Amino acid sequence: MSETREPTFLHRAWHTPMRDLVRGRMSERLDWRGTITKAALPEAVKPLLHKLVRRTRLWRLEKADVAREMVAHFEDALAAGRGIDEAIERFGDWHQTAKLIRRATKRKRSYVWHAWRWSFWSVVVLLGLYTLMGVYYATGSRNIAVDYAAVINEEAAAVPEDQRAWPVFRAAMLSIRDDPAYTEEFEAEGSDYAYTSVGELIGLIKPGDPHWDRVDRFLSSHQSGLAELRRAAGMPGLGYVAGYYHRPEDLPLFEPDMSLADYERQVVAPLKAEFVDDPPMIWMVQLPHVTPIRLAAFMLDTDTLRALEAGDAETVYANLVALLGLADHADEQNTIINQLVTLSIRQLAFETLSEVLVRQPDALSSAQLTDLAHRIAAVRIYTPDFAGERAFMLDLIQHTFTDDGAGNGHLDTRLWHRYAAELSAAGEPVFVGAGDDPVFGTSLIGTAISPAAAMIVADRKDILAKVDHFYALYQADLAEPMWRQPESRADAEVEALIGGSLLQKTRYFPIAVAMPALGAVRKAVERYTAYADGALTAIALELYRREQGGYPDTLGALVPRYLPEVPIDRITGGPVNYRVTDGGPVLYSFGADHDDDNGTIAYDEDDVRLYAVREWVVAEGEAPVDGDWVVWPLHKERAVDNADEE
Amino acid sequence: MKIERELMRGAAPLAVLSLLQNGEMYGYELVKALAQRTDGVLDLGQSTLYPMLYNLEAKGLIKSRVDQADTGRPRKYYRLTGKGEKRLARDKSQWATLSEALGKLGIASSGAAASLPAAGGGA
Repeated sequence: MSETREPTFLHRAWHTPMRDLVRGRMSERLDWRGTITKAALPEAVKPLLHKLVRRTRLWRLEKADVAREMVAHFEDALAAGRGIDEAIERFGDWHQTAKLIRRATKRKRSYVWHAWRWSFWSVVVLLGLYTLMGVYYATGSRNIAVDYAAVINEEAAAVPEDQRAWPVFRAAMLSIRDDPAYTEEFEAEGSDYAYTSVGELIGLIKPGDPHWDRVDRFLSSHQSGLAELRRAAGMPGLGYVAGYYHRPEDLPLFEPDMSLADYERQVVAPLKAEFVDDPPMIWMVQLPHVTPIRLAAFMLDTDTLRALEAGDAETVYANLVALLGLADHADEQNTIINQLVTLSIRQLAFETLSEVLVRQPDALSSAQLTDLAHRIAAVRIYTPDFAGERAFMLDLIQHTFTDDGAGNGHLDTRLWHRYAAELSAAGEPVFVGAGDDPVFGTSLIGTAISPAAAMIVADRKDILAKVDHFYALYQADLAEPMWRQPESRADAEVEALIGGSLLQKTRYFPIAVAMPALGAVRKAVERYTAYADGALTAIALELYRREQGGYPDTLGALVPRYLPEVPIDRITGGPVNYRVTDGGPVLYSFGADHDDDNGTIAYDEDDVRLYAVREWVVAEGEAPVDGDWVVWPLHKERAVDNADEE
Repeated sequence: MKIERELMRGAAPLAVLSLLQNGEMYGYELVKALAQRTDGVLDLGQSTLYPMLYNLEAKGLIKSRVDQADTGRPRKYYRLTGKGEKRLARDKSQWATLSEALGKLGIASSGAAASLPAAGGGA
């Protein structure tokens, strides 16, 4: 016996199971080493037993059981008269025995332990696979091969430098806008408007308004600038190439209160620094030029009324032509923003023409009216091009998906974090229900779950196919008039995807997050076509009146000499409706209720025009507005109407 | 004669169950009985016996209890469970069938196997 000292209390407590301790028994049942050491066995066998039991790597209680049984076995063998050498010899392979004992003893453990063990190893395996997956999704590289900013700028860039209208336009706008009288504030007392400067009244004010004289004087004093605007509008191409920041020469127009040095330091330098890490994305391209184009359109609109009052028919005509020219300049980039601005400026041209024809039907010559009719007819059909919108999606994909060289790839989880954060900052709900805390944020949680999400997200080819499918649907929607197909089939599909299951949304989440619902563009196009038809018919009616001495009883009388065909009511699909009132001819659609209200516009209790009469689809459970959709005359008679279309 | 491991793997548990049929036994007792009753053919080393006992216990075919030996040391005794009895009956039947089949091939004498499970009866 090598162990002769009395074990300490701590030693005894350490080797006693908790259950025994609670019962106040220092059983030392866990002391397997002590069991072997104290056994009445030859010393030669003890190290072997120590080794055997230790190698089982079992729990202490199990080791103690094995130790007791092995000790008993050898004691029995010795008692039976066997020599210790023979007993050791007959024991077999100690190492193998330890392994077998371990395996068999573990089988005896509880179901709970087995369940836990399976769970543990399952989790370990899954974590291993997950890590491998994470590595896979973090590999591969993007291929930012297409400069989509250049794609949407193709038309603008193609305009030769010396033929670009933009420098002319910019100089003209600056000459008008930099006049202190433009922004000088004055008391708005006595006006229907709350506006306090000429700049803010332009586009809203009409002759007869208390402040008209001030605006009249301002515009009269800027005729050279307005003439330059008209010249710019008449040039074949605007040539404004949109970029990620303003060119120095454009800064006075876009950021009049900022010096070039400040702009370079505060805006350009940080952007350039950002682009070093990653090429810029198309959504960072700025389209600031559409704002002054709209402003110029309002200037020309108001100047037309000034010229009309002054009996200057040539300027009236030139302004109307210029409005149509400005509209053409606005959509050099084929984004939806550009194209909607184009439509709104054309509509403004029709409103201005409406004002002219109602106020002074004889102001424009028949030749001028005929020329205007030809110009309007040339752009009567406007089919938006979704190529720019598609470019936004394709650029998003080339920035966030890897490219295997064959056009396929997977979500690049390393970079998605960044774009998701940017999207989130831009107010896009990066994940439904995530609110301001995007699931794919830069947080640890975001990093941890991104491989799982990347696995669910469709691959590059699949996403691209879906994007193309949606844009083809939107384009096809435009070919079908809304009176025949009121609902947008493309919107229905996109909404089904966005409103679908979480799995589906996750699978196509670049689309769910970034794909715009473009169904409303159809309405804008339908409205525009109705107003263009209204303007063309009104010109035809005026020319008829001049030649025939009065308005016809029906629009059919205009065909074919004055009009190729009677336009349709774009809500019902029937012929557009026509009445002659004291104020002249009225052209109208029956509106969503499909009944004739004699061209009466519906207003709500706040005197706001109810544009629901122009809706093609009446929401379920709601009655259609009782009124008509008047497409001519188009100009606003009431102050509240000026809130229209914004 | 040394028995191949694969053959031993099938026969040894049956032999142990058979020995426990007539009452509980402890480890060394089983080793001794197996060797004696099989004329040394089933002379299992401890390295085989104890893992096998633990396996049989894990399967619920035998059960153990610890008691004081004559020496005053604790000793683990094994006994057959109800499940073990059923397994023994089934395995015996299968061995008998196998033995008979082998006998027809002239490999084993018919009825030889049947005598093995009865070994416990003479302990």
